[in-house]
Amino acid sequence: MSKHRLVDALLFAALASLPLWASGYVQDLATKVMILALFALSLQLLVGVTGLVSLGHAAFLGIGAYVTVLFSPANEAGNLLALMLASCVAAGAYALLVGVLSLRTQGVYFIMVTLAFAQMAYFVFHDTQLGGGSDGIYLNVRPALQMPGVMLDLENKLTLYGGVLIVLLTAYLGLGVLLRSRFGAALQGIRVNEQRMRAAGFNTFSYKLAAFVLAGALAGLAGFLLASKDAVVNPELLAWHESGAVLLMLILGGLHSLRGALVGATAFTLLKELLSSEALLGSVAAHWQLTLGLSVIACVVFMPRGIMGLSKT
Amino acid sequence: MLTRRFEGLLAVNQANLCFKRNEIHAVIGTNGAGKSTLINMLSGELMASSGSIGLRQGEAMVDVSAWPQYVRARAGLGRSYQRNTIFPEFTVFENIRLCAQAVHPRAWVWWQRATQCPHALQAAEQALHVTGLVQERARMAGTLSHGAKRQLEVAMCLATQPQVLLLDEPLAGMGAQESERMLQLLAALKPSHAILLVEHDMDAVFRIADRISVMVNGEVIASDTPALIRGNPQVRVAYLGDWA
Repeated sequence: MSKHRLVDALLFAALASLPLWASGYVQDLATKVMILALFALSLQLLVGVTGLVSLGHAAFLGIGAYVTVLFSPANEAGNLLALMLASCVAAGAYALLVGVLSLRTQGVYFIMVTLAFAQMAYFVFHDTQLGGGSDGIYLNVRPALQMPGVMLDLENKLTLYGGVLIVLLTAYLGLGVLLRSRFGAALQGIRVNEQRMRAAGFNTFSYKLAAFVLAGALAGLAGFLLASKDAVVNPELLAWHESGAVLLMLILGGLHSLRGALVGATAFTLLKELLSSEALLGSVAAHWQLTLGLSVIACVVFMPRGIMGLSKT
Repeated sequence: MLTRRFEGLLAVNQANLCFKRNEIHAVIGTNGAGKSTLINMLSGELMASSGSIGLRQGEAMVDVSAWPQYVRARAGLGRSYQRNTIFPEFTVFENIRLCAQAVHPRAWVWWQRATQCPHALQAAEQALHVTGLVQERARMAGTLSHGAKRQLEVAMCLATQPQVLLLDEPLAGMGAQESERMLQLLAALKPSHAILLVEHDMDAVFRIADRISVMVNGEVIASDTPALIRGNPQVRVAYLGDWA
Protein backbone atom coordinates (compact mmCIF):
# COMPACT_ATOMS: atom_id res chain seq x y z
CA MET A 1 0.00 0.00 0.00
CA SER A 2 1.50 3.32 -1.06
CA LYS A 3 1.75 6.30 1.27
CA HIS A 4 -1.04 8.09 -0.55
CA ARG A 5 -3.36 5.09 -0.30
CA LEU A 6 -2.67 4.86 3.43
CA VAL A 7 -3.57 8.53 3.88
CA ASP A 8 -6.72 7.93 1.80
CA ALA A 9 -7.73 5.01 4.01
CA LEU A 10 -7.11 6.96 7.24
CA LEU A 11 -9.12 9.92 5.96
CA PHE A 12 -11.94 7.64 4.94
CA ALA A 13 -11.95 6.04 8.41
CA ALA A 14 -12.08 9.51 9.96
CA LEU A 15 -14.95 10.57 7.71
CA ALA A 16 -16.87 7.32 8.23
CA SER A 17 -16.67 7.64 12.00
CA LEU A 18 -17.23 11.40 12.06
CA PRO A 19 -20.91 11.27 13.10
CA LEU A 20 -19.84 9.36 16.23
CA TRP A 21 -17.52 12.04 17.58
CA ALA A 22 -18.32 15.33 15.86
CA SER A 23 -21.01 17.90 16.54
CA GLY A 24 -24.04 18.40 14.31
CA TYR A 25 -22.45 21.56 12.91
CA VAL A 26 -19.28 19.72 11.92
CA GLN A 27 -21.26 16.87 10.37
CA ASP A 28 -23.26 19.38 8.35
CA LEU A 29 -20.10 21.12 7.21
CA ALA A 30 -18.50 17.79 6.29
CA THR A 31 -21.56 16.90 4.20
CA LYS A 32 -21.24 20.19 2.33
CA VAL A 33 -17.50 19.71 1.80
CA MET A 34 -18.06 16.21 0.39
CA ILE A 35 -20.73 17.40 -2.04
CA LEU A 36 -18.46 20.18 -3.27
CA ALA A 37 -15.60 17.68 -3.48
CA LEU A 38 -17.72 15.56 -5.83
CA PHE A 39 -18.44 18.69 -7.87
CA ALA A 40 -14.72 19.56 -8.01
CA LEU A 41 -13.91 15.95 -8.93
CA SER A 42 -16.23 16.15 -11.93
CA LEU A 43 -14.50 19.31 -13.16
CA GLN A 44 -11.06 17.79 -12.60
CA LEU A 45 -11.92 15.24 -15.30
CA LEU A 46 -12.12 18.15 -17.74
CA VAL A 47 -9.47 20.56 -16.46
CA GLY A 48 -6.74 18.44 -14.92
CA VAL A 49 -7.15 15.29 -16.99
CA THR A 50 -8.26 16.39 -20.46
CA GLY A 51 -6.98 19.97 -20.37
CA LEU A 52 -10.38 21.54 -21.05
CA VAL A 53 -10.83 24.64 -18.90
CA SER A 54 -14.59 25.10 -18.58
CA LEU A 55 -15.97 28.22 -16.91
CA GLY A 56 -19.55 27.02 -16.97
CA HIS A 57 -19.52 23.93 -14.82
CA ALA A 58 -21.96 25.31 -12.22
CA ALA A 59 -24.74 25.07 -14.82
CA PHE A 60 -24.69 21.28 -14.52
CA LEU A 61 -24.69 21.41 -10.73
CA GLY A 62 -27.64 23.80 -10.81
CA ILE A 63 -29.59 21.77 -13.35
CA GLY A 64 -29.17 18.64 -11.23
CA ALA A 65 -30.37 20.54 -8.16
CA TYR A 66 -33.36 22.11 -9.93
CA VAL A 67 -34.42 18.79 -11.46
CA THR A 68 -34.41 17.22 -8.00
CA VAL A 69 -36.74 19.90 -6.63
CA LEU A 70 -38.98 20.27 -9.69
CA PHE A 71 -39.54 16.53 -10.07
CA SER A 72 -40.27 15.96 -6.37
CA PRO A 73 -43.95 15.61 -5.44
CA ALA A 74 -45.31 18.59 -3.46
CA ASN A 75 -46.11 16.96 -0.15
CA GLU A 76 -44.38 13.62 0.01
CA ALA A 77 -40.90 12.24 -0.48
CA GLY A 78 -39.77 11.70 -4.08
CA ASN A 79 -38.12 8.46 -5.13
CA LEU A 80 -34.44 8.82 -4.30
CA LEU A 81 -33.12 6.63 -7.11
CA ALA A 82 -35.39 8.10 -9.77
CA LEU A 83 -34.52 11.68 -8.81
CA MET A 84 -30.83 10.90 -8.67
CA LEU A 85 -30.98 9.36 -12.13
CA ALA A 86 -33.08 12.23 -13.51
CA SER A 87 -30.58 14.80 -12.19
CA CYS A 88 -27.66 12.99 -13.84
CA VAL A 89 -29.51 12.51 -17.12
CA ALA A 90 -30.72 16.12 -17.32
CA ALA A 91 -27.28 17.56 -16.53
CA GLY A 92 -25.65 15.06 -18.89
CA ALA A 93 -28.07 15.98 -21.68
CA TYR A 94 -27.31 19.68 -21.31
CA ALA A 95 -23.60 18.82 -21.25
CA LEU A 96 -24.07 16.93 -24.51
CA LEU A 97 -25.63 19.99 -26.13
CA VAL A 98 -23.02 22.38 -24.75
CA GLY A 99 -20.21 19.96 -25.55
CA VAL A 100 -21.20 19.39 -29.16
CA LEU A 101 -21.14 23.13 -29.77
CA SER A 102 -18.29 24.27 -27.51
CA LEU A 103 -15.73 21.50 -28.13
CA ARG A 104 -15.20 22.77 -31.66
CA THR A 105 -13.38 25.72 -30.13
CA GLN A 106 -10.18 25.77 -28.10
CA GLY A 107 -8.45 27.63 -25.32
CA VAL A 108 -9.93 30.98 -24.39
CA TYR A 109 -12.78 30.55 -26.90
CA PHE A 110 -13.79 27.32 -25.17
CA ILE A 111 -13.81 29.17 -21.84
CA MET A 112 -16.06 31.89 -23.26
CA VAL A 113 -18.49 29.50 -24.96
CA THR A 114 -18.93 27.34 -21.84
CA LEU A 115 -19.46 30.53 -19.81
CA ALA A 116 -22.08 31.73 -22.30
CA PHE A 117 -24.05 28.47 -22.12
CA ALA A 118 -23.95 28.51 -18.33
CA GLN A 119 -25.24 32.10 -18.29
CA MET A 120 -28.04 31.03 -20.62
CA ALA A 121 -29.12 28.32 -18.18
CA TYR A 122 -28.76 30.81 -15.31
CA PHE A 123 -31.12 33.30 -16.93
CA VAL A 124 -33.67 30.61 -17.79
CA PHE A 125 -34.08 29.94 -14.06
CA HIS A 126 -33.57 33.56 -13.01
CA ASP A 127 -35.98 35.25 -15.42
CA THR A 128 -38.78 32.72 -15.84
CA GLN A 129 -41.22 31.28 -13.34
CA LEU A 130 -40.10 27.75 -14.18
CA GLY A 131 -38.15 27.40 -10.94
CA GLY A 132 -39.59 30.20 -8.84
CA GLY A 133 -37.62 32.99 -10.52
CA SER A 134 -34.80 34.74 -8.72
CA ASP A 135 -36.05 33.57 -5.29
CA GLY A 136 -35.74 29.90 -6.17
CA ILE A 137 -37.95 27.19 -4.70
CA TYR A 138 -38.08 25.02 -1.64
CA LEU A 139 -38.00 21.26 -1.52
CA ASN A 140 -40.80 20.41 0.91
CA VAL A 141 -39.82 16.81 1.57
CA ARG A 142 -36.39 15.36 0.91
CA PRO A 143 -36.11 12.28 -1.33
CA ALA A 144 -36.38 8.83 0.18
CA LEU A 145 -36.08 5.25 -0.93
CA GLN A 146 -38.73 2.83 0.30
CA MET A 147 -38.38 -0.77 -0.70
CA PRO A 148 -39.15 -3.96 1.14
CA GLY A 149 -36.43 -4.27 3.75
CA VAL A 150 -34.81 -0.94 2.84
CA MET A 151 -35.72 2.46 4.15
CA LEU A 152 -33.47 5.37 3.26
CA ASP A 153 -34.80 8.80 4.10
CA LEU A 154 -32.61 11.83 3.39
CA GLU A 155 -34.60 13.79 5.98
CA ASN A 156 -32.39 11.85 8.38
CA LYS A 157 -29.08 13.71 8.59
CA LEU A 158 -27.08 10.60 9.29
CA THR A 159 -28.53 8.84 6.22
CA LEU A 160 -27.75 11.89 4.12
CA TYR A 161 -24.21 12.02 5.46
CA GLY A 162 -23.65 8.30 4.80
CA GLY A 163 -25.16 8.54 1.34
CA VAL A 164 -22.98 11.48 0.34
CA LEU A 165 -19.87 9.71 1.66
CA ILE A 166 -20.65 6.55 -0.33
CA VAL A 167 -21.38 8.47 -3.54
CA LEU A 168 -18.15 10.48 -3.20
CA LEU A 169 -16.10 7.37 -2.48
CA THR A 170 -17.62 5.52 -5.45
CA ALA A 171 -17.00 8.45 -7.79
CA TYR A 172 -13.41 8.88 -6.56
CA LEU A 173 -12.51 5.22 -6.91
CA GLY A 174 -14.44 4.86 -10.17
CA LEU A 175 -12.68 7.84 -11.75
CA GLY A 176 -9.37 6.45 -10.51
CA VAL A 177 -10.02 3.23 -12.42
CA LEU A 178 -11.25 5.17 -15.45
CA LEU A 179 -8.05 7.24 -15.59
CA ARG A 180 -5.94 4.09 -15.87
CA SER A 181 -8.13 2.67 -18.65
CA ARG A 182 -7.67 3.20 -22.36
CA PHE A 183 -10.25 5.99 -22.23
CA GLY A 184 -8.35 7.74 -19.44
CA ALA A 185 -5.01 7.30 -21.18
CA ALA A 186 -6.46 8.85 -24.33
CA LEU A 187 -7.87 11.83 -22.39
CA GLN A 188 -4.45 12.51 -20.88
CA GLY A 189 -2.87 12.18 -24.30
CA ILE A 190 -5.31 14.79 -25.59
CA ARG A 191 -4.30 17.16 -22.80
CA VAL A 192 -0.62 16.85 -23.61
CA ASN A 193 -0.78 16.77 -27.42
CA GLU A 194 -4.12 16.60 -29.20
CA GLN A 195 -2.54 16.99 -32.65
CA ARG A 196 -0.51 13.83 -32.16
CA MET A 197 -3.55 11.93 -30.90
CA ARG A 198 -5.41 12.74 -34.12
CA ALA A 199 -2.40 11.73 -36.18
CA ALA A 200 -2.31 8.39 -34.36
CA GLY A 201 -5.95 7.77 -35.28
CA PHE A 202 -7.97 8.91 -32.26
CA ASN A 203 -11.26 10.68 -32.84
CA THR A 204 -10.37 13.27 -30.23
CA PHE A 205 -13.68 15.12 -30.52
CA SER A 206 -15.64 12.04 -29.40
CA TYR A 207 -13.29 11.46 -26.48
CA LYS A 208 -13.61 15.04 -25.32
CA LEU A 209 -17.38 14.94 -25.73
CA ALA A 210 -17.65 11.74 -23.69
CA ALA A 211 -15.54 13.31 -20.93
CA PHE A 212 -17.66 16.48 -21.04
CA VAL A 213 -20.94 14.56 -20.72
CA LEU A 214 -19.59 12.37 -17.92
CA ALA A 215 -18.34 15.45 -16.05
CA GLY A 216 -21.72 17.14 -16.54
CA ALA A 217 -23.63 14.11 -15.27
CA LEU A 218 -21.38 13.87 -12.19
CA ALA A 219 -21.90 17.57 -11.49
CA GLY A 220 -25.65 16.88 -11.80
CA LEU A 221 -25.27 14.17 -9.20
CA ALA A 222 -23.58 16.68 -6.90
CA GLY A 223 -26.51 19.01 -7.59
CA PHE A 224 -28.96 16.31 -6.54
CA LEU A 225 -27.09 15.86 -3.25
CA LEU A 226 -26.88 19.61 -2.67
CA ALA A 227 -30.63 20.08 -3.20
CA SER A 228 -31.32 17.11 -0.92
CA LYS A 229 -29.12 18.65 1.76
CA ASP A 230 -30.26 22.27 1.61
CA ALA A 231 -33.88 21.58 0.59
CA VAL A 232 -33.82 24.80 -1.41
CA VAL A 233 -32.47 25.85 -4.79
CA ASN A 234 -31.99 29.26 -6.36
CA PRO A 235 -30.43 30.55 -9.58
CA GLU A 236 -27.20 31.54 -7.81
CA LEU A 237 -26.20 27.88 -7.94
CA LEU A 238 -25.71 28.28 -11.69
CA ALA A 239 -24.03 31.66 -11.52
CA TRP A 240 -20.63 32.18 -13.08
CA HIS A 241 -18.93 32.84 -9.76
CA GLU A 242 -19.84 29.30 -8.68
CA SER A 243 -18.10 28.04 -11.82
CA GLY A 244 -15.16 30.24 -10.88
CA ALA A 245 -15.13 28.98 -7.31
CA VAL A 246 -14.90 25.33 -8.36
CA LEU A 247 -12.02 26.20 -10.71
CA LEU A 248 -10.30 27.90 -7.76
CA MET A 249 -10.73 24.70 -5.73
CA LEU A 250 -8.83 22.77 -8.41
CA ILE A 251 -6.08 25.37 -8.64
CA LEU A 252 -5.80 25.42 -4.86
CA GLY A 253 -5.67 21.64 -4.54
CA GLY A 254 -3.57 20.90 -7.62
CA LEU A 255 -4.45 20.05 -11.20
CA HIS A 256 -2.49 16.86 -11.54
CA SER A 257 -4.51 14.39 -9.52
CA LEU A 258 -8.02 13.49 -8.46
CA ARG A 259 -6.85 13.98 -4.88
CA GLY A 260 -6.12 17.59 -5.75
CA ALA A 261 -9.84 18.14 -6.36
CA LEU A 262 -10.78 16.65 -2.98
CA VAL A 263 -8.09 18.57 -1.12
CA GLY A 264 -8.90 21.79 -2.94
CA ALA A 265 -12.63 21.58 -2.28
CA THR A 266 -11.96 20.93 1.39
CA ALA A 267 -9.40 23.72 1.73
CA PHE A 268 -11.52 26.24 -0.14
CA THR A 269 -14.72 25.50 1.79
CA LEU A 270 -13.00 25.51 5.17
CA LEU A 271 -11.14 28.71 4.33
CA LYS A 272 -14.40 30.37 3.33
CA GLU A 273 -16.10 29.11 6.50
CA LEU A 274 -13.21 30.40 8.63
CA LEU A 275 -12.93 33.80 6.99
CA SER A 276 -16.67 34.47 7.15
CA SER A 277 -16.97 33.46 10.81
CA GLU A 278 -17.90 36.46 12.90
CA ALA A 279 -17.17 34.56 16.10
CA LEU A 280 -13.52 34.19 15.07
CA LEU A 281 -12.78 37.33 13.08
CA GLY A 282 -15.33 39.89 14.25
CA SER A 283 -16.08 42.70 11.81
CA VAL A 284 -13.46 41.48 9.31
CA ALA A 285 -15.74 38.51 8.64
CA ALA A 286 -18.13 40.76 6.72
CA HIS A 287 -15.39 41.25 4.12
CA TRP A 288 -14.71 37.53 3.66
CA GLN A 289 -14.62 37.85 -0.14
CA LEU A 290 -11.63 40.18 0.14
CA THR A 291 -9.75 38.03 2.64
CA LEU A 292 -10.60 34.85 0.72
CA GLY A 293 -9.33 36.38 -2.51
CA LEU A 294 -6.08 37.48 -0.85
CA SER A 295 -5.62 34.04 0.70
CA VAL A 296 -6.09 32.34 -2.67
CA ILE A 297 -3.55 34.70 -4.26
CA ALA A 298 -1.09 33.90 -1.47
CA CYS A 299 -1.67 30.17 -1.96
CA VAL A 300 -1.05 30.39 -5.70
CA VAL A 301 2.14 32.39 -5.15
CA PHE A 302 3.58 30.05 -2.53
CA MET A 303 2.17 26.77 -3.86
CA PRO A 304 2.17 27.08 -7.67
CA ARG A 305 1.38 23.38 -8.06
CA GLY A 306 -1.38 23.45 -5.48
CA ILE A 307 -1.50 21.80 -2.08
CA MET A 308 -0.88 18.37 -3.62
CA GLY A 309 2.25 19.78 -5.27
CA LEU A 310 3.80 20.20 -1.80
CA SER A 311 3.96 16.47 -1.15
CA LYS A 312 6.08 15.87 -4.24
CA THR A 313 8.97 18.20 -3.44
CA MET B 1 -3.53 16.82 -58.87
CA LEU B 2 -3.36 18.24 -55.34
CA THR B 3 -3.55 21.94 -54.71
CA ARG B 4 -3.54 23.92 -51.48
CA ARG B 5 -3.95 27.66 -51.30
CA PHE B 6 -3.25 29.84 -48.25
CA GLU B 7 -4.95 33.13 -49.06
CA GLY B 8 -3.11 34.20 -52.24
CA LEU B 9 -0.22 31.75 -51.86
CA LEU B 10 -0.23 28.49 -53.78
CA ALA B 11 1.61 26.31 -51.26
CA VAL B 12 1.18 23.19 -53.36
CA ASN B 13 0.16 23.53 -56.99
CA GLN B 14 -1.25 20.56 -58.87
CA ALA B 15 1.08 17.96 -57.46
CA ASN B 16 0.56 14.53 -58.98
CA LEU B 17 2.44 11.82 -57.14
CA CYS B 18 2.18 8.10 -56.59
CA PHE B 19 3.59 6.12 -53.65
CA LYS B 20 4.00 2.35 -53.86
CA ARG B 21 4.83 -0.42 -51.47
CA ASN B 22 8.47 -1.46 -51.61
CA GLU B 23 9.52 1.98 -52.77
CA ILE B 24 11.09 4.86 -50.92
CA HIS B 25 9.86 7.97 -52.62
CA ALA B 26 11.83 11.03 -51.53
CA VAL B 27 10.47 14.52 -51.94
CA ILE B 28 13.16 17.19 -51.92
CA GLY B 29 13.10 20.94 -52.36
CA THR B 30 14.08 24.18 -50.69
CA ASN B 31 12.46 25.40 -47.48
CA GLY B 32 8.96 26.63 -48.25
CA ALA B 33 8.67 24.54 -51.41
CA GLY B 34 5.51 22.91 -50.04
CA LYS B 35 6.86 19.56 -48.82
CA SER B 36 5.32 19.71 -45.38
CA THR B 37 2.07 21.06 -46.79
CA LEU B 38 2.02 18.04 -49.09
CA ILE B 39 2.39 15.68 -46.11
CA ASN B 40 -0.26 17.62 -44.19
CA MET B 41 -2.68 17.19 -47.08
CA LEU B 42 -1.96 13.50 -47.50
CA SER B 43 -2.37 12.79 -43.78
CA GLY B 44 -5.51 14.90 -43.53
CA GLU B 45 -4.18 17.58 -41.20
CA LEU B 46 -5.00 20.06 -43.97
CA MET B 47 -7.74 19.59 -46.50
CA ALA B 48 -6.73 19.99 -50.15
CA SER B 49 -8.14 23.06 -51.91
CA SER B 50 -8.66 20.89 -54.95
CA GLY B 51 -7.64 17.46 -56.19
CA SER B 52 -8.06 14.01 -54.72
CA ILE B 53 -6.12 11.47 -52.68
CA GLY B 54 -6.54 7.77 -53.26
CA LEU B 55 -5.51 5.01 -50.86
CA ARG B 56 -5.32 1.35 -51.78
CA GLN B 57 -7.51 -0.78 -49.53
CA GLY B 58 -7.10 -4.42 -50.48
CA GLU B 59 -7.63 -4.47 -54.22
CA ALA B 60 -9.66 -1.30 -54.54
CA MET B 61 -8.49 2.31 -54.69
CA VAL B 62 -10.52 4.39 -52.25
CA ASP B 63 -10.88 8.16 -52.44
CA VAL B 64 -9.96 9.40 -48.97
CA SER B 65 -9.91 13.14 -49.78
CA ALA B 66 -12.93 13.92 -47.62
CA TRP B 67 -11.90 11.72 -44.67
CA PRO B 68 -10.82 13.40 -41.44
CA GLN B 69 -7.29 12.80 -40.26
CA TYR B 70 -8.06 10.15 -37.64
CA VAL B 71 -9.98 8.01 -40.14
CA ARG B 72 -7.09 8.19 -42.61
CA ALA B 73 -4.68 7.28 -39.84
CA ARG B 74 -6.72 4.19 -39.02
CA ALA B 75 -6.90 3.29 -42.70
CA GLY B 76 -3.11 3.10 -42.74
CA LEU B 77 -1.71 6.57 -43.37
CA GLY B 78 0.92 7.08 -40.67
CA ARG B 79 2.96 10.24 -40.33
CA SER B 80 5.82 11.66 -38.33
CA TYR B 81 6.43 15.33 -37.73
CA GLN B 82 9.27 17.61 -38.69
CA ARG B 83 9.19 19.36 -35.33
CA ASN B 84 9.07 16.85 -32.50
CA THR B 85 5.45 16.22 -31.63
CA ILE B 86 5.67 13.82 -28.73
CA PHE B 87 4.16 13.57 -25.24
CA PRO B 88 7.07 15.03 -23.25
CA GLU B 89 5.67 14.23 -19.79
CA PHE B 90 5.02 10.54 -20.55
CA THR B 91 7.64 7.79 -20.63
CA VAL B 92 9.02 6.66 -23.97
CA PHE B 93 7.09 3.42 -23.74
CA GLU B 94 3.83 5.18 -22.88
CA ASN B 95 4.29 7.51 -25.88
CA ILE B 96 4.47 4.51 -28.17
CA ARG B 97 1.84 2.44 -26.36
CA LEU B 98 -0.66 5.30 -26.52
CA CYS B 99 -0.23 5.55 -30.29
CA ALA B 100 -0.59 1.77 -30.62
CA GLN B 101 -3.82 2.00 -28.61
CA ALA B 102 -5.42 3.88 -31.52
CA VAL B 103 -5.53 0.62 -33.47
CA HIS B 104 -7.61 -1.11 -30.76
CA PRO B 105 -9.26 1.84 -29.05
CA ARG B 106 -12.07 0.03 -27.17
CA ALA B 107 -12.63 3.18 -25.11
CA TRP B 108 -15.74 1.80 -23.41
CA VAL B 109 -13.74 -0.86 -21.52
CA TRP B 110 -13.29 1.56 -18.65
CA TRP B 111 -12.53 -1.00 -15.97
CA GLN B 112 -9.48 -2.51 -17.66
CA ARG B 113 -6.09 -0.87 -17.38
CA ALA B 114 -4.75 0.61 -20.59
CA THR B 115 -1.48 -1.20 -19.93
CA GLN B 116 -3.27 -4.56 -20.01
CA CYS B 117 -4.26 -4.45 -23.66
CA PRO B 118 -2.09 -7.13 -25.32
CA HIS B 119 -2.49 -5.74 -28.85
CA ALA B 120 -1.13 -2.32 -27.94
CA LEU B 121 1.65 -3.77 -25.78
CA GLN B 122 2.82 -6.05 -28.55
CA ALA B 123 2.77 -3.33 -31.20
CA ALA B 124 4.55 -0.95 -28.84
CA GLU B 125 7.26 -3.48 -27.95
CA GLN B 126 7.88 -4.10 -31.61
CA ALA B 127 8.12 -0.41 -32.48
CA LEU B 128 10.42 0.10 -29.48
CA HIS B 129 12.75 -2.65 -30.69
CA VAL B 130 12.98 -1.78 -34.37
CA THR B 131 13.73 1.86 -33.61
CA GLY B 132 16.38 0.93 -31.05
CA LEU B 133 14.81 2.71 -28.10
CA VAL B 134 14.73 -0.28 -25.74
CA GLN B 135 17.32 1.26 -23.39
CA GLU B 136 15.26 4.42 -23.08
CA ARG B 137 11.85 2.87 -22.49
CA ALA B 138 11.32 4.16 -18.96
CA ARG B 139 12.68 7.64 -19.54
CA MET B 140 10.49 10.73 -19.71
CA ALA B 141 10.24 11.49 -23.43
CA GLY B 142 10.93 15.17 -22.84
CA THR B 143 14.41 14.40 -21.46
CA LEU B 144 15.60 12.41 -24.50
CA SER B 145 18.38 13.66 -26.75
CA HIS B 146 17.29 15.26 -29.99
CA GLY B 147 18.25 12.24 -32.04
CA ALA B 148 16.36 9.88 -29.75
CA LYS B 149 13.29 12.10 -30.01
CA ARG B 150 13.46 11.74 -33.79
CA GLN B 151 13.60 7.96 -33.34
CA LEU B 152 10.62 8.16 -31.01
CA GLU B 153 8.69 10.13 -33.65
CA VAL B 154 9.14 7.25 -36.05
CA ALA B 155 8.40 4.63 -33.39
CA MET B 156 5.10 6.35 -32.56
CA CYS B 157 4.20 6.33 -36.22
CA LEU B 158 5.10 2.64 -36.61
CA ALA B 159 3.09 1.71 -33.52
CA THR B 160 -0.12 2.54 -35.38
CA GLN B 161 0.81 -0.16 -37.93
CA PRO B 162 0.45 1.99 -41.04
CA GLN B 163 0.85 0.81 -44.62
CA VAL B 164 2.03 4.22 -45.81
CA LEU B 165 4.71 6.14 -43.92
CA LEU B 166 4.79 9.89 -44.40
CA LEU B 167 8.09 10.90 -42.80
CA ASP B 168 8.86 14.58 -42.45
CA GLU B 169 12.64 14.99 -42.12
CA PRO B 170 13.31 11.99 -39.88
CA LEU B 171 17.09 12.61 -40.07
CA ALA B 172 17.01 16.31 -39.16
CA GLY B 173 19.57 17.09 -36.46
CA MET B 174 20.76 13.49 -36.10
CA GLY B 175 24.38 12.46 -35.67
CA ALA B 176 26.08 10.27 -38.27
CA GLN B 177 25.56 7.08 -36.29
CA GLU B 178 21.90 7.78 -35.58
CA SER B 179 21.31 8.67 -39.22
CA GLU B 180 22.88 5.41 -40.34
CA ARG B 181 20.62 3.49 -38.01
CA MET B 182 17.52 5.30 -39.25
CA LEU B 183 18.44 4.63 -42.87
CA GLN B 184 18.85 0.94 -42.11
CA LEU B 185 15.46 0.98 -40.46
CA LEU B 186 13.85 2.63 -43.49
CA ALA B 187 15.44 0.02 -45.75
CA ALA B 188 14.05 -2.72 -43.51
CA LEU B 189 10.57 -1.18 -43.55
CA LYS B 190 10.57 -0.71 -47.31
CA PRO B 191 9.30 -4.15 -48.42
CA SER B 192 6.15 -3.87 -46.32
CA HIS B 193 5.44 -0.14 -46.55
CA ALA B 194 5.03 2.66 -49.05
CA ILE B 195 7.36 5.39 -47.79
CA LEU B 196 7.31 9.10 -48.52
CA LEU B 197 10.51 10.65 -47.26
CA VAL B 198 10.92 14.40 -47.02
CA GLU B 199 14.60 15.02 -46.30
CA HIS B 200 17.32 17.64 -46.68
CA ASP B 201 20.28 15.28 -46.35
CA MET B 202 21.07 14.77 -50.04
CA ASP B 203 23.66 12.04 -49.48
CA ALA B 204 21.09 10.00 -47.61
CA VAL B 205 18.33 10.70 -50.12
CA PHE B 206 20.35 9.69 -53.17
CA ARG B 207 21.59 6.61 -51.40
CA ILE B 208 18.28 5.22 -50.22
CA ALA B 209 15.52 6.60 -52.45
CA ASP B 210 14.09 4.60 -55.34
CA ARG B 211 12.35 7.62 -56.74
CA ILE B 212 12.86 11.32 -56.14
CA SER B 213 10.43 14.16 -56.72
CA VAL B 214 11.67 17.74 -56.68
CA MET B 215 9.42 20.56 -55.53
CA VAL B 216 10.01 24.22 -56.28
CA ASN B 217 7.55 26.92 -55.21
CA GLY B 218 4.77 24.41 -54.68
CA GLU B 219 5.21 22.63 -57.99
CA VAL B 220 6.69 19.24 -58.68
CA ILE B 221 9.21 20.04 -61.42
CA ALA B 222 10.59 16.52 -61.77
CA SER B 223 9.85 13.01 -60.54
CA ASP B 224 12.25 10.26 -61.53
CA THR B 225 14.91 7.77 -60.48
CA PRO B 226 17.86 9.21 -58.54
CA ALA B 227 20.22 8.85 -61.52
CA LEU B 228 17.97 10.79 -63.85
CA ILE B 229 17.21 13.45 -61.23
CA ARG B 230 20.93 13.96 -60.72
CA GLY B 231 21.35 14.59 -64.42
CA ASN B 232 18.29 16.79 -64.82
CA PRO B 233 19.48 20.34 -65.69
CA GLN B 234 16.29 21.98 -64.42
CA VAL B 235 16.76 20.38 -61.01
CA ARG B 236 20.40 21.37 -60.87
CA VAL B 237 19.52 24.99 -61.47
CA ALA B 238 16.61 25.04 -59.08
CA TYR B 239 17.92 23.07 -56.16
CA LEU B 240 20.91 20.80 -56.28
CA GLY B 241 23.39 23.37 -57.55
CA ASP B 242 26.96 22.25 -57.03
CA TRP B 243 26.01 19.23 -54.97
CA ALA B 244 25.30 16.85 -57.85
